[in-house]
Amino acid sequence: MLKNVAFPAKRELLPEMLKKITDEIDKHVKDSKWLNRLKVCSEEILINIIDYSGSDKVYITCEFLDAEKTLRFEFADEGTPYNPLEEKSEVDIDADIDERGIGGLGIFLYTTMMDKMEYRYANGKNHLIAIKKFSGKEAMAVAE
Amino acid sequence: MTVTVERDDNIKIIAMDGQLDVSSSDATREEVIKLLDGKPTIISLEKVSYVSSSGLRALLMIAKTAKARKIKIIYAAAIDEVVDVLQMTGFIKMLRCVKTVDDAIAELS
Repeated sequence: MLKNVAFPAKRELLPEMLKKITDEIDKHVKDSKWLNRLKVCSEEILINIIDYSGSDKVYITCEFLDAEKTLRFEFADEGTPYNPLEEKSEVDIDADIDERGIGGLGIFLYTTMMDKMEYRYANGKNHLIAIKKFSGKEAMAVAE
Repeated sequence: MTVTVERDDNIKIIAMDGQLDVSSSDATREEVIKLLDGKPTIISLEKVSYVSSSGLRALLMIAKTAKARKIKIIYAAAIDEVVDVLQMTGFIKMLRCVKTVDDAIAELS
């Protein structure tokens, strides 16, 4: 479990942050597709904090609850109050190559992949919480 | 990420090898676009282990550039985890994607 682990909010540390997260997920999730999806989701959220929040640190929580069936991510930062979930993603997955813009993919990916996203600003920090519930054979190795 | 030209006759095959993430996407996009010279081109994703949203943007920009230059381009041989992200975002139907490099060669020949 990663519980509120602080990292300097620097791009060069992103691989280390993602490794800590994927090592944790790897203990619980055995479906390679979901391992990959959760890494993509984490990268999108972390890079937004690193590049745009103005925070010196990012705080990462990655825990499995509910008899290991529910993944809960929490990403916190001390930057400018900002709710990314208020940004409307304008991704049109049916658009053709000429119509397709290059923006909005990050938020589209993590809001599509995760079951539930929440934002709150508390104690001087942005908190972005992402929940994914796994059902039986979908992805989980039941905790030993 | 490394970018290698594996074939360059009537068809060009460009192979990417590595992770197409935020640290590599811009440079990879520029490198591949420089290699587009008018020949039908296959981009092999066989050794690409990871694609994030910045990687998707790179694949899109390469395809848009190729289209503007009237160069036929096919992405081939992506692994299942990459196909999953391409499907989720609609890229799989927007870009020309095939299962193997041989399928792409057959289509361009």
